[in-house]
Order: sequence, then structure tokens, then C-alpha cells
Amino acid sequence: MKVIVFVKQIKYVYAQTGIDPKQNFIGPDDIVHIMNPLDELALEETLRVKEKHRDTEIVVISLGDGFAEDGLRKCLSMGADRAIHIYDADYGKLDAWMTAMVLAYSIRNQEFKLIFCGRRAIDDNGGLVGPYIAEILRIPHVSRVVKLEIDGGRSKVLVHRAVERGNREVMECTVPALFTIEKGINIPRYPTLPGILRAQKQVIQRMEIRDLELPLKSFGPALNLTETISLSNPKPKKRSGGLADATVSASDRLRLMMGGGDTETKGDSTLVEGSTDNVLSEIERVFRESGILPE
Amino acid sequence: MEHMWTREIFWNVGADKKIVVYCLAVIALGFFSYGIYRRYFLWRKVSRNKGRISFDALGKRVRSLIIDGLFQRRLLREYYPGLMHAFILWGFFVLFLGTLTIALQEDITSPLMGVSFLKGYFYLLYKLTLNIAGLLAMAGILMALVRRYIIRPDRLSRSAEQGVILIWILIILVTGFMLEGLRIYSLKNSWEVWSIGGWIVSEILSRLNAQDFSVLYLHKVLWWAHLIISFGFLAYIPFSRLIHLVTSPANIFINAPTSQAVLSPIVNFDASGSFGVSTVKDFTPRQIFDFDACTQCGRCQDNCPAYISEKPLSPKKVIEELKARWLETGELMKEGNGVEGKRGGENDGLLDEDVIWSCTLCMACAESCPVYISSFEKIMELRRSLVLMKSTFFPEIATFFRDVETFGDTFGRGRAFREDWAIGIDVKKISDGNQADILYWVGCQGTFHDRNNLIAGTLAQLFKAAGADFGILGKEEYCCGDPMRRIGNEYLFQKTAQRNIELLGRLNFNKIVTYCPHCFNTLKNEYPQFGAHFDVIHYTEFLRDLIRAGNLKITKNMEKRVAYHDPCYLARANDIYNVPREILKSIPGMRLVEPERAKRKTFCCGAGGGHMWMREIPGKKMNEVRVKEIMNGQPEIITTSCPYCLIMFEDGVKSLGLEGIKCLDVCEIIRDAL
Repeated sequence: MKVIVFVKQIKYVYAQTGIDPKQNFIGPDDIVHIMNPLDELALEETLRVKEKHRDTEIVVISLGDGFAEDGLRKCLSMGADRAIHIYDADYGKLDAWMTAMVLAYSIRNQEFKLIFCGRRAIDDNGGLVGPYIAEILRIPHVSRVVKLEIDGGRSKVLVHRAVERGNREVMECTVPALFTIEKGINIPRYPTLPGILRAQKQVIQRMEIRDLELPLKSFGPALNLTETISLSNPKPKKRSGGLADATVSASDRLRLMMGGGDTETKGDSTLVEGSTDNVLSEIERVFRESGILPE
Repeated sequence: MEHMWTREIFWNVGADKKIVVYCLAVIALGFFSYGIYRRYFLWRKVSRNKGRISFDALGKRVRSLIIDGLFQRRLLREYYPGLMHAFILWGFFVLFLGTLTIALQEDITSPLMGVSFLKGYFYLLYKLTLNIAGLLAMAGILMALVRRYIIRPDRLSRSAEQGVILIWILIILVTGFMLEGLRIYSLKNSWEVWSIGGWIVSEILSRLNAQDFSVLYLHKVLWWAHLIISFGFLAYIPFSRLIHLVTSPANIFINAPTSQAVLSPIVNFDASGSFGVSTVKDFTPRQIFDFDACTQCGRCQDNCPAYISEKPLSPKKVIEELKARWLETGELMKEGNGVEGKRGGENDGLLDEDVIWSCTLCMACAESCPVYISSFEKIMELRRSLVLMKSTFFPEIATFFRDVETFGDTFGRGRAFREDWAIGIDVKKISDGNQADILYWVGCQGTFHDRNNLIAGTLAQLFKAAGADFGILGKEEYCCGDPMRRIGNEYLFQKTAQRNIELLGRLNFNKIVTYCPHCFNTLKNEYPQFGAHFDVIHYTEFLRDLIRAGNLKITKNMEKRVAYHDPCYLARANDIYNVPREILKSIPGMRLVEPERAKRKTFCCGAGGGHMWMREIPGKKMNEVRVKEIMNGQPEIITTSCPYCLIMFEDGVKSLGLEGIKCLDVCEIIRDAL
């Protein structure tokens, strides 16, 4: 059984210590290259599938520049069987649709049962590539998967899907199918040392976009359907500041400041006060009453 | 009368029985050699690794053998058990030399050269010495019996074997004195009062008015009994815990030059290799020999912070359990069976994981061991196997590894924030074109921790005030690798170390000064394993030099009671405990109170061995245990020179609800006294 995992090596901006407002104050030291954490969860889920179904072959595919290889190497060290790097020197200029085209066409002629990818990449937060790929390949997809079971005949997959407010939607789906993985599904493993050393020697298959026989006359960012105009930081939330009023005690003022101002608690919410132990047992009681925790 | 001062060696037994004695001796030695030979198989053959015992630093080995072996330095750190053991050892050592002297006369000098030297004043001195030795040994045995069966300290495990050994030795000594007493009683020579022990027995006999005939008969019987019991004892040595007569001194010889502060590196990272220890067979012969040198004296357990904090770890039990697995495996192998002992299988750990993770790598066990056994070294091997081979550890450790891999620091904050602690201080940066005399290695704690970065700043300001030419690496600084190595991720450590060594080798500076004792130990003692020899000093040494040279002038009085806590990696690993005390004492009015465990005997704060990033293993909180101990001296300020210790104590002081107790770094006290 062949399983495909699409992973993305992202530029993770963890700080804004730069001085140029045009660059959103992002300096050269503010970026690290990491594998999209949700893709890592997707790979981990595949590895767990493989633990149950030993004949599974895991192929990881990444579109990107030279850094993509680091991510693929990591996937190999965690236990993926093969890695394919689709090289794109202009990485970052394709939009979600074009990316999905490239990725879908890289596996169009292959026999696969399942495709996994992260629910979104945490750099652009698009969440579109997965569903687009499924659309192009004309297979079903389920997004935001938090639990997954393959039935014995391997013809159907039972998935739990996260919907709003912690609710879950249970779905059944035929294979082949694509699933985008939501956080919380698992905790990814840390590779073992033999895994790391093995991965260093493994060959990563490299493909060029022009080899993919895309159904397009030309190819490139010019065919993007969407264009990013600009990125900006969120505007700071307005908060009513602490009261200068000296009649309020220091601890109350502190609480007001940390609580975001002198606002009443909303609707039917409860304010729990007291020592840490009291607060915790009260929270536990509320959780049990509302059915979040079993009685 | 002087020529009379001697004795007939086979008196009352007959010299013709000599041949029987020698036959018995050969049999006893045969058993002894066979036992050692069998043991040799277990020492060498159980291990998969071919370890060679190295003989470098021979002077140091011999010195330790004499000081720690013969003169019992490490044992005598505890008076009662130390003296007890030393009495027995010294007593028997002298008695053994005495027997050799007789053999020398009877078998070599007398028959070959006709010389008998055991007479006259020499004989009297000889007798007195041997009698004192025998009495000492007897006192030691009685102390041991009292300790084992009346005092019953927690650290001693109970087994019948130990009782048997003690009683056996006692019988040898008692029959020896009785023999002498019987002989003195029947010969009635007044000068034999020099044989104190025998004289006492003969006095008792004369009070009892014993009959000459029965005395001679009893002497004959006892003589043979004494002989057989003594030879039996010799034969019993390799089959009991008495084997430590051989293994313990050998272990001192083997391990004496090994520095506990340095972990052994993995040299060959080969994808098909196996790393760390998952079965007994993975231990090296040297490590296996450690198991056999252990006498279960329990000093390690008494000094282990994890055990004292009621965590599941006892360093003594670690060795005990591994020894049992080793013997079990060895016996199975002897039977031609390739399988391993009960818990030695590939999928079944040698020790419980909770035990393995309870260790804080404080080295107290190795420090307290009289025969240089390191318990934590074995735990480290097991950790390496868990981390590198099985990848099983707490999830927070995985996060920690990722943080270091991605951001290069233990906090996962990233290089963009590396220089934030120095905002407003204006510190020079050392780079390819920019050199300085001193490289100030701040460390992740000093850089990122909200409390410790204040101390890093204070230090920089002190250096500036003293006019030192120093610089920092700034954004180029990286984790030194200590926590990864001590959690067991040797691979990540070596990658980190290589990166740092490459960087430091490129830059121009004379000395490295570190804030954190862990960075200090790693840069100073562990990087040389990878060919990098830097001149590294800890900031306390640097401040001491600055104060001595008059570059920092202490002007203020501080009427305070201050307790100094020794960080493990400064005091125990690098012998730096007088320096910070000297600094603190240079402040007028300061009263230094010593915690019960201080200097090389110090107690872990609870954050070592990666525990800064690990959950609390069930038991008492180690930092609270330590803070309580320090508070016995009723200090107003707890001071230390390690970022980890400081955080742990601030937490401990808060959680214990101690009001008005300040936790300060040594350099903060200096700053306040300028």
C-alpha cells in the first residue's frame, strides 16, 4: 500500500527585530527554516499507519528550493521510505493552485491509497493546497482530521474531523483519498540515531517541474490565480488600561490590567476565584458537568 | 637470656606435619585461583566490547592505590565505618605480612642459609606488632557486628553472607589468640607479656588453673582448626563478597585517573551501530569490573540527591541490579546458552525508566565511592540507549531537542534575541575582525532566562568596571551542548560542539570566561575530547583575580549571614570551592555559613542532568530538600554561582514560604559591596 505525504519546508518568522518597515521589521536573523509542524503530524500519522500495516510504503514529496531537502531528510530519518524533491528555484512565488497542480501531477500516474498533508502551512495559513490536489486528482478529501482508522479491507477510512468549538464530525470515506491533518492528532516522534544516520546516506530523488507534463502550455507565477499584495501585523487590540484611581488596591488594578479592563463577565460564564487547588477543582467540576470530561 | 626470645614454629604439633600444612595451602590456593579464573571469564567474556585496561598515568594510579587502598582515604571520610574497615584491613594486612615473615624464615633463610631472624628484640617487636594488629582487626569486626546488627543503618542490605564472613574472621582471630595463650600458659615465659593478646588468654587460663595435659591437647586441636579455617577463608574469597579484596584495589588502580566530569564520547557514528547500553553485554569489561568491585557499602545512596529526595533511584541498587543481570547472563553463557538473563532481553530494559530519568548527573555517587565506581556512568549509558536507539523519553525532552536544533539555544528563543540581555550595557562583540582579551561566554541561561539575564548583565558591568578587555559572541553564540549530552543525545551534543569549536577556533581571544558552571565544564573539560583546547575559567576565578589585583575595590560593609551553595559542576567536577568563598570573605562583616553538605560533598539543586527541562519525577522536590538543608544555618542570603541552582533555590524559597530570604548570585553580592 503506497501512501503519499506532502511536506513543506517553511520559513518560520519567530521574531521581528529588523529595522525596515517595508520588510515588516523582519530581519535576516528572524527566520528559521523548519518543516511545517502540521506536515510533521501528517508524516507521524502515516508512520503509525505503517506500524499497523507493515507493507505500507511511505513516499514524501516536497516542492521547494534547496532547503526542502533538509525537511525531506528529516522525514527519512523519522522513517519514510522514499523522498522526492520537486525543485523550484523561485520557490515562494507560486500560489496555492499552481502548487497543487505541480504536486498533483507529480503523482498522477502512481498507484496510491492515501495522501496526507498538513491542514495548512503555518507560514501563509492558506489551507488550500490539500483540497486543490484532491480536486485535481478527482479523489475525495477530508480536511482537519484528528483521528483516523483504516478498515480491514483497506477500502474505507473512518475519520474524525475537527469542527468549531471542539465538536467532531465522524466521516467515512473511500480510498484513494486525501486527508489534511489537524494538530492534536498525535505527538510526532523524535528520530532515532540509526534513523538519522541512515537518512544521511539515502538518495533523495530530484524532479524538475518541466518534467511533470503539466496540462499547461507555459508555466510559472504568471499563471497564478491569486496574488499576495501585502502582509501586515495585526493591529494591537484596544484594551482599557488600568485605573489610575488610587482607591482600587494594587492587586485589583493588576487583575484589571491582565483581564483586559474593567469589563463584566459575559453571559453565563463563571468567575472562579481562590487558591490554585480550588480553581482547578472548580474547573474540573465545570468540565465534568458540561460533559467535556467523563463523569 | 636474650637468645631465648623466640618460639619454635611447629611447637607441640611437630615439624614433620609441615608437609600436611603445605598440601592444605596448595589446595586452598587452588580453590582461590579457580575462583578467580571463573570470575575472569565473567569479567572479560560477557561484554561484546573489547576493552583494554590502559596503564597511562601510572603514577596517579599507584598513588591512589596507596592512598585510597592502603590508607583508606575515601573510606575514612566517614569515621565509624571508615575506622571499622581500616582496622580490619590494616590488622589483616599486618598479620599477612607476619605470616610471610615466618614463611621467609622457615622456607628460605633457615633451610638455605641457616639464618633464623625471628628472635631477640626483633621477635618481641614482631610479636607486639602482630598482637596489636590482631586486636585492631578484632575491634573492627566487633564494630562491624554492632553496626550491622544493632545500629542497622538504612544503606546496608541484609544478607546472610555478610554475617558469615564477619563471624568467620572473628573465629580466625579468636582461635589465633587462644593458640598463643595456650602456648604461653604452658611455657610460662615472663617475657611473652609482649604478646598482649596471647598473654591475656594465658592469664585467664592460669586463673582457671588449667591442667597441662588438657592445655596441650586443646592446643593441638585448635592449631589444626585454626589452620583449616584460615585456609578455608582463603579459598572462600573468590566465591563471596570477599572478592573485593581483589577487585576493589584493582578497580582503584583502573579508575583512579578517570575524570568524573567528562563523559566518554561515542567515537563512531555508524548507521548499523548500536549506541549506549541496552543489554548487559553492551557494557565494556571495565564497566562490568565495576560491578564486581562494589561491596554494597551504600555510601553512594547516602549521598544521592535523588535517593534523599525519595525518587525511585538508588545508585547502590543500580549497581546491584546490573551486577545481578551480569552474573545471570554470564552463568547462562557458561552453559553455552546465548540468551540473556531475565531482564536482559532486547525489549526489556535493564532498569526502570523512572530510575534512569531520576538521575541528575551530579556525580555525588562517584565522588563518595571508596573504590571509584561511577553509578551515573552506567545510567548515562542506559539513557543513551533510550534516547539514541529507542527514542523513548518524555515529550518535553523532544521539544527541547527540537528547540536546540532549530534555534540553537535551550530556551527555543532564537538568535535574534541573543543580545537582548546586553541592551544598555554596550558590550563589544568578538567577530572575525574584532578581537578581545577575554571572551565572555554568557550561556543560554544568562542570555534568555528572565532572572539570570540580569546576572549576565551584572557580570558584564563588573568586567567593565574593572577595565577588562572583553567581548561576547552575540548572535553567534550557541548552546554549549551540556544538557543534550547529559540527557543522552550524544549525537546532537557532538554536532553542537563541532559547530562551536569551529567558530571559536576562528576567533582571536586569549581566555574564555563563562557565567554558567555547566558551560565552563563542557568548554574546559569536554571539548578537548574533540581536539579543542581553550583556556577556560569560571567567572568566580576571574572576579577573584580582579579583586586581588585591585581592579575591583570592595568598599562596603555587609553585616549578613550568607550561605554559599556549591554548584556540582564547579565544586565536584572542577574543584573550585575556595575561590567563591575567598571572594565572599573579602567583604567585611560578611558571615559565611556552611551548609551540611558543602564543597565536594555538595548536594544537587535538582536541575542537573537535563532536569531543568524535565517533569518532576515523583518524590520530594530536590530544591526544597536542599533549601531546607541550607536554612539550617539560618542565613539571610542564599548565594551560589550557577544559574540553574539560583532558579531552583528561588523557586524553593517561594514554595516553602520562606519570607525575607534572598537568593543572589555571588557577583550580585560583589556588585552591592563595591
